[in-house]
Amino acid sequence: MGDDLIAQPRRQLANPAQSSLFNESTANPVTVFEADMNGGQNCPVQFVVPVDPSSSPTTVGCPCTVLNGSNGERLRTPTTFKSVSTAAAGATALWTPTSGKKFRVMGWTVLIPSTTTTAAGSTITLQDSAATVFTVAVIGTTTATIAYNSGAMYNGYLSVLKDNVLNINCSAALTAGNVLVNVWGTEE
Amino acid sequence: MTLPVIIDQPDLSTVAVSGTVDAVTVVDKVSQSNAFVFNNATSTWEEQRTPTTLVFTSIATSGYNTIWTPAAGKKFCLMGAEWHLRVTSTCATSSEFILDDNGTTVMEMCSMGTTTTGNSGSVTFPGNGYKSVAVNNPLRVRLTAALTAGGICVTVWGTEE
Repeated sequence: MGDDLIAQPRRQLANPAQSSLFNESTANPVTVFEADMNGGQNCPVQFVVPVDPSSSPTTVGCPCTVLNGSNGERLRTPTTFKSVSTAAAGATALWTPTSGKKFRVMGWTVLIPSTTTTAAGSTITLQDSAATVFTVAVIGTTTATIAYNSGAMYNGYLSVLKDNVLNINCSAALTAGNVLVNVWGTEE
Repeated sequence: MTLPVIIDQPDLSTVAVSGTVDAVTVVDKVSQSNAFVFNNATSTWEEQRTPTTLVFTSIATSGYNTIWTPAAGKKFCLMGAEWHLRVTSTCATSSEFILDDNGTTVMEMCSMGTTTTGNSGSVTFPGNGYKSVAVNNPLRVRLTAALTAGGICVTVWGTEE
């Protein structure tokens, strides 16, 4: 069952065969029930049936969850989008989360024009504070155009610590051109 | 337990379920309903959108170029974009190409010097993508300098709501 759901024990049902409904609020009622959805292995699965109050007519539906290897997580939708352009050596802040929050990277793009040059090459990384999380590009003294993206990362990468800054780091300065990086995700 | 429930069917009709609702009933109905993704900023679930607006344009002019003006009272919700900078493009010094939400940078697409060997890129945002910060905001492409030849072709897609 989802870690987010386990954090709300009042929603859990003792009897897998039991079903129940909870109207938690007028604005966002939630229906909870259990069913055998695990290939007939009698493993109870908990569903939260959400309501999107912005929909017209109001709809209920299936919440998307993804397995992180051990627990299910609610599949996020991104709410924060950040961009930066840099040519400097070292770390450049890309995303400073709100105080007390962690950033969650759900995707990124890196774009380097073919006019970019370096003295002896540069490795471009995304860093969780000072720890490398993604190596997004490696260029020599010159480069062909680079336009990479992360592809689908689902819930992506959650920072290891609150208040950590997501940095873009160039191991050496660019002598011409620049690196454009976009990231998106959530703060939580 | 009695709880009125309105279920949005795939064929856009609605079914009202009231009275005692058992798991089988709910499973049956839910299996026909939409997927939801979680908005951590508002702690609410949202229906997963599918794009209904597709906009294509080619741009070479400096400054802000409006490519998507939502209907009055609506916000654009950008779910993806692709771009192609023509290899024949030139500019006086250098230029950057930026997707802009009426003054707020959404993302940097690419950049070039006086010439380019071309640049193509695309992005498909997860979930419901980028929602405009205000109703009636246009989605624009900003060029920091005009192109003297060529241009950048941009296609974006999403919803208005």
